[in-house]
Amino acid sequence: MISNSEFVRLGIPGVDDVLMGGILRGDTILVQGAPGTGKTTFGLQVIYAGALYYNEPGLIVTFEQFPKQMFRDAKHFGWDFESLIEQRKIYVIATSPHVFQKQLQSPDGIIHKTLAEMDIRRVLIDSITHFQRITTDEIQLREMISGLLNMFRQREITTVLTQEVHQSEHSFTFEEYTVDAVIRLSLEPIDKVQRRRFLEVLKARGQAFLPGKHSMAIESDGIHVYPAPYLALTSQTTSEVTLKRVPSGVPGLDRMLGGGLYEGFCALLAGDVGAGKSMLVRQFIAYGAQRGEPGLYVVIRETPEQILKVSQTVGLNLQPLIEAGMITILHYNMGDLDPYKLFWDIHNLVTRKNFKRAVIDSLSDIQPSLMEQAVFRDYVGALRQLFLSHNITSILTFDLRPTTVEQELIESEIALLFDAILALRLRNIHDHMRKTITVLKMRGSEHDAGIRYVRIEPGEGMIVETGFEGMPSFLRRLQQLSMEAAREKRGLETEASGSA
Amino acid sequence: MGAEVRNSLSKTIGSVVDSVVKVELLLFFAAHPTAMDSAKGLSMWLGRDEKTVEQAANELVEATILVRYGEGEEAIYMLSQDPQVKDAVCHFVSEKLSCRERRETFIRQLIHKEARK
Repeated sequence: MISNSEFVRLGIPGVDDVLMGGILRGDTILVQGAPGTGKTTFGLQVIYAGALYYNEPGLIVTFEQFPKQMFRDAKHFGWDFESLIEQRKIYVIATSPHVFQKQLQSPDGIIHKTLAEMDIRRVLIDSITHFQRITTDEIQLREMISGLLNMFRQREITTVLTQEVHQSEHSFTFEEYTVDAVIRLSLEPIDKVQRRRFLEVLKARGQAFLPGKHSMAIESDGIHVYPAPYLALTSQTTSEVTLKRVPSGVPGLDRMLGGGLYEGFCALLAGDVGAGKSMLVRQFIAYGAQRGEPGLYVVIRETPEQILKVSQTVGLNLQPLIEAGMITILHYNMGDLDPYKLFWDIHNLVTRKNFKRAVIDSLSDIQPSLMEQAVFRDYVGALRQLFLSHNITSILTFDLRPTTVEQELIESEIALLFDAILALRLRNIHDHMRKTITVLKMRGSEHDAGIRYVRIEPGEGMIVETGFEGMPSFLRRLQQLSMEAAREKRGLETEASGSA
Repeated sequence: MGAEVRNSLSKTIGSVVDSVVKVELLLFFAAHPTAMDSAKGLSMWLGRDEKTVEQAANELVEATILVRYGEGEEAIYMLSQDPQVKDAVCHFVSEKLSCRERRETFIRQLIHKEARK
């Protein structure tokens, strides 16, 4: 077991969590990435945090970028390097690799003198790629770099080396074998117009770390890393689900659910666009707030102003509840949405505040940023676990295509994660588009499995009718058609996989 | 340090700095007082010819503005660690070279002088 004192906290928010406490003292870290991925900023932040927060003086060695330019850029993050240099907490050397190497080999050279006089604990070498200016012979380079790193290791100095690698490179560089830890930074396309920053630990000798790609953002105060939630949350405790019912605030729906959701349940509210999902979650959160149950309202598409305005049209005045602190709105723009950041923002809020209810409107806005279906499923799982561990009753909305049948939804991968599933649909009934609601799943409880008619009334909000009285054959036929369509689809898929 | 000594040293620097490369070397070391490099390395920082940089750096060493460790290709140049010299260099740079306009005027004068030679 490694004790905490053996770990050096790098001081970049989130990175020490990915490294499960930090990096082992005296280790060498290779930070790789293509141009513009944030390698130098990463290195500077490690040095700055060390000098400022951990009383670990730092040395910066730069082979290409003017220190003046580096510190000017760092000022944008509020980092005052000049002041720390004046206080002799940071020393900076602009030099060339050849001179640096010669100086290191000379025991009475300036670098050794500086390391000893200032008791340097952290070193940044930006960048190791420049050693190719001395030789391109790989054996010579490897010997040179190994010697250099061993010198720092022996003095228990934590060393960050930056290295330029191209995004497309998959082969390993010899430096990766020589160093103790490898961190790769990347800027990857998520669609045709947007890119997202990622950080991945490829290696960390003698210690555990969270594998996989984690979100990275360069914010106003420097780099922040948001670990992949499904990896970081595995050790969280789960609270017991109680048998207490949580009414939704929508007349009729609670009757269908047998009294409401159970406390701590996570429900999926799936449905067509325009069927009333947002209206239902607004009522759910407002009803709770009026009963003294603080609610968290995470919204992506609509702005808080739009929410307030639309709510008022149905007689729901959220403003006083927000002002009283009973409803907290967390709003994001779809354009720059980082789902991992969103998760950790929610995490920070629910650990600070005593929320009883939460809604996310909508998962469909988060899904495109997660690129892969399996990642989306694990992400939703982490959200569910987060709410469950704080005993928060939650509703997460999700858009369905008009062609998606209920059976498909029930059998989908994410459906397994939820304690309850509600479907809000737009149906063409006698040449009229009608809103309907169905409870497809309610764990641990009997529920009304019928298709119910939904109205949205000015001043009253959403109302669920008891049923389509007088039209039972139509409803049976509707369900039958849905099931037939699902069966047909499954049959086609089986046929296709069989022929493949 | 007294203003008199500083001004006198600053004047000396003014008389030694008689080429554009020397101005650039002075600016580089004033901005990065802990920098150290060979003539080849300095030529890369300045984007100048190595021989010209070496000659200018050696002249600044003779004037005790820079210090040199080692000889020939192995020689490394640094700003003098003498606080009086460091202070005078900073003073000279802030007086004559810190503002872009003044710097350009100073360099233009040097170019004229070099042309007259």
